Amino acid sequence: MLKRKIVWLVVSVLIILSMALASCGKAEPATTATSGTTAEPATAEPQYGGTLTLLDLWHSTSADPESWDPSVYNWLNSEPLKYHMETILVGDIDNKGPRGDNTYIFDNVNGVPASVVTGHLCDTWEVVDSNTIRLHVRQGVKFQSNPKVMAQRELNADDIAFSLNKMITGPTIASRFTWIDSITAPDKSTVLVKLNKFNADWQSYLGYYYYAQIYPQEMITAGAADWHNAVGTGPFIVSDYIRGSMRTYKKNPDYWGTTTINGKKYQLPFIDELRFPVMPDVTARLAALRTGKVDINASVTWQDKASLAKTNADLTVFKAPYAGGHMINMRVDTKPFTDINVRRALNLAIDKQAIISAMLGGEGVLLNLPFTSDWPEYTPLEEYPHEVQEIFGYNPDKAKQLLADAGYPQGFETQLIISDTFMTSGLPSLVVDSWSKIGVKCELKTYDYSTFETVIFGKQQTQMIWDRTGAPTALGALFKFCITGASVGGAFLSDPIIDQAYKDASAETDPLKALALARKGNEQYVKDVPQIWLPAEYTYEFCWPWVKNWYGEISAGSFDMGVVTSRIWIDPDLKQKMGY
Amino acid sequence: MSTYLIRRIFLIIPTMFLVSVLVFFSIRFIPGDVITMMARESFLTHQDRASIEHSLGLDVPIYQQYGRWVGKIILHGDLGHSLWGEVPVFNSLSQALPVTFELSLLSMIIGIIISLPIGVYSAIRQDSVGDYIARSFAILCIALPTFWLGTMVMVLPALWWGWSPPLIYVPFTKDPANNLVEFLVPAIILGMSLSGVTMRMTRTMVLEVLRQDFIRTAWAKGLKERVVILRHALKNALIPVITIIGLQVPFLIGGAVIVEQIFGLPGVGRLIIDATFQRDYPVVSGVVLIIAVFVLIVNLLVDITYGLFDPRVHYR
Repeated sequence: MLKRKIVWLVVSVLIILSMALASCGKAEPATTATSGTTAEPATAEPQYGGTLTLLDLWHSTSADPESWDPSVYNWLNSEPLKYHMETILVGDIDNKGPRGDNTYIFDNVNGVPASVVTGHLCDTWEVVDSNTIRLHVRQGVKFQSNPKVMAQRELNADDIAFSLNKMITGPTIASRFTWIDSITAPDKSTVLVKLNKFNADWQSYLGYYYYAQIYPQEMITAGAADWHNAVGTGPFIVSDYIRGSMRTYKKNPDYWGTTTINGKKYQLPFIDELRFPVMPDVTARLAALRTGKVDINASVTWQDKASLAKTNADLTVFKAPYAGGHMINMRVDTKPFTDINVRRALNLAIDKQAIISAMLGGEGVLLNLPFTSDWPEYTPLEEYPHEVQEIFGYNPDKAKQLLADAGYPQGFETQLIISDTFMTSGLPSLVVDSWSKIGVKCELKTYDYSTFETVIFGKQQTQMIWDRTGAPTALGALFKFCITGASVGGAFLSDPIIDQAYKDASAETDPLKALALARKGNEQYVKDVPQIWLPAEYTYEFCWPWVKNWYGEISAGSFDMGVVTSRIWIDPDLKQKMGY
Repeated sequence: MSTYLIRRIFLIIPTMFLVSVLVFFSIRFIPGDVITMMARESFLTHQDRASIEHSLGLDVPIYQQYGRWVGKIILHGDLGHSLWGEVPVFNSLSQALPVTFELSLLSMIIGIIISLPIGVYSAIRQDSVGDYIARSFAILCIALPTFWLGTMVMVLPALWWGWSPPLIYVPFTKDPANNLVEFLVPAIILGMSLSGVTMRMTRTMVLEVLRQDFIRTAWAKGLKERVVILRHALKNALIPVITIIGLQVPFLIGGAVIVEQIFGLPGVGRLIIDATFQRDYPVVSGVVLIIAVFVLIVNLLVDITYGLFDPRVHYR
């Protein structure tokens, strides 16, 4: 018996040793995906029918709608509602996107540039003067029939006024609409918006905002929280919902929308059914894509793209820079961050190019905030003065000198508040280590994401706070980050040049002039260096080749994938040929 | 027995009171303000905030909130509404609970199917090759984390064979066959993690019982091994094993949280995680309370089961 025990002990030790030795093997260097094809503009004839299964854009545990009631103003609620409901304006993906003149790639979930906005439920509009906007309701648009709610009927101006008025008086968001006096419907096809102050971002707020869906009053009366009562004008109808599991939409046979492909007009949508499985786990999402259980995964990170491209070379891939990025806000109203030299020093101490090459899979954008790099009004880094370009380089010696000039020759101690969700990127540890080399000792104070939100929106940080976010529009970026009292301004910056630029831009009724003014505000903000901008990674959208007429667009507004999915079709023969 | 049952049921009341106090107050002490989270980037005036607090019932002292919550449960059976969408907690729970219940039940059955035969075999073939393999397997089941195993089952077959377990939940009422197929893999993973301890306990108890005089008598009478083990030894050995299985129920629910996340099962675990992140106090309090009731009932059933296995146990 003793002999047997010794034998088993030896065998166990040998197994463990061999596993340990195997794990010490040389790590494979990260490779940039070289395989994976990009789609060409559609030449084949569209096909009607089939089911499109895709993973939610926002890969979080809240991929479920909190409520089907559009007047529950949780931004995460927005996307599930925009397949059966629509907004009065959208981004023009047919003409301005990759299938058109490629002005914009529609990769920002939060919004679209003003230059690509087009009419949707309101097909035309006029800015009458700085206090009046007139919108014209598109004719022939019908609300879906729902036996529990209402018979099919035509959309009219009263519906638009009702929905938008509900939004602008929503208890948690009313403060965003104080510039609006009233929204009325003087007749069935006209909506009149009266303003007490012009806001050049009105197209975003009223046109396609997270909460700007248009719905009938009958739905509210019937009980909008119940998905069975969901009614809209959109290309799809909610057909099934299992909380935590799946959202299913079926084709709206009476949808008004069309698209033109190769000169021929087609009725939308093409597919019969749209399915959104809820999969909060990243490995499950990747496995679902690999095995063909989902057709599209539009949120693959750089960490997974190489592996996917290697194991599933058939997949089509699109990429776009993340619509925002990581930033470290320094409280410029608190020492030692009151001195711009300290802020510049902390930037110079971080090797941002090395982050791109070693940590982001070799692809990244150095400056992607507050304006994202694919906006027409973005200022490339090369157009900034030398002292701005310099802070995106790496020079720890100069950083130490700048600290010394600011009166901190030995460095200083500070605190950085961060959410636990940002820790997984590995960047915080790198940043803290980089700063330690110039004498700055930084304590990382980690919170769960919900507590972090309370801190950042409550502006409770005392030193620095790390954030990862973006903005829907140029003016939105100034409002969110840059102006005095900015809504998420973690840096507490107060620069009269920026405030004036924002004021002038907001009041400008010409959208292109407004953007030019906003650009000035953004440039000033970057020159003030209130933040440390870490390189923005690319996100990757993967799909199977049988998915047609999709070019990686992920939103035609604020979380508006309904417009995009209505234009996609499936090639069932190809799918079968590939064995799925 | 009926007196015992009534007494035990009455004892549940003070336990539930303590649990209700704990679950109600603990979630509210977690940092993070639900109204700030709702408002996000909006500027709220004091009036706005007060109005929202009033509509959510958060404007009264916390002990009053507790009183209202308990009062609604006792008088109306109403667990309250979600703060984020006015969906009744009961509705969310009634969708999520059957999923977790099914997963837990299947895991327990699979765990018992794995552990009992192996544990018994391991005991009756003590120190054999089979015994060593069984004991190693038991240790493996205890040592391997559920989340790791679940992730490996998700990742590796997809990479090697282009296969993944079913990832889209189908309710049992809609398609029982596909539903059971979907639950099979997660139930095996969870069942394995439970079976390790049960296996070892079964082996230990069977070994102990096999050394008793009455077993020696049974052998002396010439009874077959199957009769000695199944009719005489196992019944006595199972009593502590039943206790272990009963004690594993709370761990089962905790383990189910991770498995539900990985395999996309919309159970109670996912509901609690989402609600906790959202600081949705009524949902968290209501769900945890129901789980506590469930655990208490299971423990009561475990105690009653003793009487079935051991005639010496009388409940008065």
